Amino acid sequence: MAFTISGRGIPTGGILDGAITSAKINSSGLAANSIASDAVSTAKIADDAVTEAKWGGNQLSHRNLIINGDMKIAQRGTSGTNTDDSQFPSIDRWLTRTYNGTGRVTLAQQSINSNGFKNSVRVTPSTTDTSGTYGYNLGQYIEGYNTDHLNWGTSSAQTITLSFWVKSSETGTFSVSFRNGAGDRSWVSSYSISTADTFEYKTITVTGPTDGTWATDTNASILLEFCYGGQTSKSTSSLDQWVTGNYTAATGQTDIMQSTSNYFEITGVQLEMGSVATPFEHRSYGEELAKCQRYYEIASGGWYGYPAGQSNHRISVPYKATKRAAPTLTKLVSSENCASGVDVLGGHEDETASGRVQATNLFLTGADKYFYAKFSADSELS
Amino acid sequence: MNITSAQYVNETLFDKEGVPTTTQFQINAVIDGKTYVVPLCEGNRHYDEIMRQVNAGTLTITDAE
Repeated sequence: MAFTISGRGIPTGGILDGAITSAKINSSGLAANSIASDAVSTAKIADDAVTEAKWGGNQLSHRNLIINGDMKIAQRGTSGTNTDDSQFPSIDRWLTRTYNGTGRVTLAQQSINSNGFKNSVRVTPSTTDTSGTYGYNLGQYIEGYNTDHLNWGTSSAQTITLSFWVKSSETGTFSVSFRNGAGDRSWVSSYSISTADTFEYKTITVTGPTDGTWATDTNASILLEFCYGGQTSKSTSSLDQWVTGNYTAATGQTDIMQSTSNYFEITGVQLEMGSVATPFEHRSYGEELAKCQRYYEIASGGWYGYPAGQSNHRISVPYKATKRAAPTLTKLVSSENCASGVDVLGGHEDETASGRVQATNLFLTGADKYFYAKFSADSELS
Repeated sequence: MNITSAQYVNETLFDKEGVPTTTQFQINAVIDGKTYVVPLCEGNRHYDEIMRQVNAGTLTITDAE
């Protein structure tokens, strides 16, 4: 029954607590534009009116614990083939695991225009393995400092949710796993790819583990791996639950390692606290690159001038990002006109902050002498 | 990792009187066919693997030249 409020309207206290329930307001009860654009002002909302429960409780930015989830950063190159276990062939932060299998894969960045993403990574077998015995996974290991707020391994462990876009030449059951660094706690979930060659969106929610040891420092805490190869050595049928042991695949995992014509492709990987998969958080290229550089960067440095004398000459090369740990260095390019060679060395006082370039046995003095090197600094988790 | 060689590298620093101090500084290693400069640092994945293989008796780190 409709009624009209007139005169002085509804007095203070005129509407009792709980009087206006959702049942009292029809789904179309509020007409369009019935709340004026300036009606809900800051002063109308009490300080504690909008609680965490009203917006899900997740942080509004920097939710994604995965680095380079949209596969846009490729400092090592846009395509590379692994030659052994635990390698980073191309896309930053994404490693390939083979678990003693002899199959090999190429990781290649793809240019796409799909679901808001411009890049993905495609895994293609370069050497097949038809045994179905070993594990073939694409993974990212997350540093403990970045997950310590999850309180995993305690009674207040937080739930997390993984979301991603995936496609494959093969349909069937695929799996994703979460493990700790010790490999004695595992959570395996399966998902289905129902249509070949078509991106599908998947979400998986993981209850926080209340036991096990989970790193809260520079070591690996959560080992996230997507399985694309059939395996029996690390498979389990105990899905969507924490189990004691080292498992990375669901029983019945689809095996793309059977043919070099197969592929597995993924992008938009997001891992966030809470039970809701929010839209992928697109970070700027510079921000994503800086995050990657904590684990791998290409540095360069050199010297030009008039050497004061003959001996080894060294210059310090500060890194763009402080490394997770003292990095492994690899000389990529060098040149000189005054020494027997150019070498790279770790930093003298703090190896996480800088490296050094050395002109070894500099033997020519005089004007216009130089030495130069470009090198990689790798402190990845694997 | 397929580690085919590993050798310590020393660094010698001289004080104001010219007295040298030599310390073991890093390992030059050939891993999967590539040459790497590996720090003596637990937590570095290459160093950890080198030491795992040394402890397993499958790899020896040669002394510095």
